[in-house]
Amino acid sequence: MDNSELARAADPRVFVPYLRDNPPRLPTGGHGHGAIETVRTATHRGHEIVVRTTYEIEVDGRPLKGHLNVGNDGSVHYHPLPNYSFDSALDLVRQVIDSFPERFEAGGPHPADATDSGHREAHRGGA
Amino acid sequence: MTVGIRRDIRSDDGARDAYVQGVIRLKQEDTGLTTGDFRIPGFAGTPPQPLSTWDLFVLWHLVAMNTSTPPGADRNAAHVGPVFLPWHRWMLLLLEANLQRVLRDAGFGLPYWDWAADGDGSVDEQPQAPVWKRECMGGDGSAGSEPFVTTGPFAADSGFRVRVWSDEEGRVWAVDRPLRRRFRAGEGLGLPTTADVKAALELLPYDTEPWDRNSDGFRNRLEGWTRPTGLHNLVHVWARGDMEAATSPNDPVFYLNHCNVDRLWAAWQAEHPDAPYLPGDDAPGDLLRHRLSDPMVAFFTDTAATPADMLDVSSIYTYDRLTM
Repeated sequence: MDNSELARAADPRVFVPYLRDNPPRLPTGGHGHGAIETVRTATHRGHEIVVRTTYEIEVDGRPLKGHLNVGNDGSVHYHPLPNYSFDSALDLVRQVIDSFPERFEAGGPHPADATDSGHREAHRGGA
Repeated sequence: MTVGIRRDIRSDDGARDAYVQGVIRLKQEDTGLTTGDFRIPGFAGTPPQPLSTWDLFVLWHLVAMNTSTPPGADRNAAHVGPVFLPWHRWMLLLLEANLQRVLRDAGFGLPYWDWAADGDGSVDEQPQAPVWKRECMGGDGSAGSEPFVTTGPFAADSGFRVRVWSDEEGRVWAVDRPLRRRFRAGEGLGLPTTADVKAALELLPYDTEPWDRNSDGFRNRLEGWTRPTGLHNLVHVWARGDMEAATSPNDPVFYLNHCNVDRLWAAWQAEHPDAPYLPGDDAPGDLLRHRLSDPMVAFFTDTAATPADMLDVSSIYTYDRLTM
């Protein structure tokens, strides 16, 4: 890779038509249900270990459905907050409320207020 | 051949001013594409939004972050794995090339923010560091549930608008609002320190099994998964607001953070010239996108760089300083 290659890649006459013809696939939908299952595997003294953990998280009765993983050390990672690692799922949810306070305010804007076709697909479980 | 020099935005006013001007121009460069072209729904009735060249980089980051490697894994095509450093080096190169174009300066070098130098100071003083001044990135967001940035070139009254945003469940939405920041300094959380950086630079190898956030090695320490949260991750977590979502490249500070992360990788490479990038091409298939010659997730064209392409970029740019 050199400067001339980079300059070509940074030309809108190149990348705009490409993106118009090749729109990226974006995460417009949630997981479509409230349960999130994570699987950890390990081998110990020749034995295969599988630990499945299922989370069903609610805040004020509303399910929270982002992608969640549990690390081998038991820490929890939540993809919508990609730079955090949590000691527990409760800590995770506390941080989600702190980071997106407007999303948990009574009467605050909700995605269901969205109107276009992409959103309707999202709520049918698309993407 | 022009080799750009990347300098510390804390001390180089020329690099600072050029970066601010370049960001504004890329943010104003209308591509003719809209969120509707990418089937991004409008949040709370927001109509389709115009997408600038700047906004397209936000979407590239989102696409890579949502490409789990392998599917269902914690590791993705730009984070939580070995490709974290080369993928972001590639992203910075393409952003820098676009900045050079709009600035009409082939020698422009993306500035970095040596956040550890600020982290060595008291936590209370960190929000007043040079990077947060009016003439640089502007400061913290206002208090309340809408912490919009109120000072500097990207403040709410500047016309700088966030067009795409990832919500509390990771869904992307079209929005039309100012930039958000919510500094953690008031909670006693400080930025990484020089001691943290020096400890990371001593680590070998580059990366190791299980090639994720449980790995020992340099990449994982620099990315910030070694608990407590550190280095790169800590900067995102410290600034908060738009910096803590998957759409974090909305905030121009994102690139200053990652340019410093890239500088630290360059420093590590200089310190350990015989230490290879890992994993190699003989690693298992579930490490696709992370092995030495794997194509990384592209966006602007179908031509993908590889981690191997990113190991020696000395013909394109250098850093003014690799010492800590």
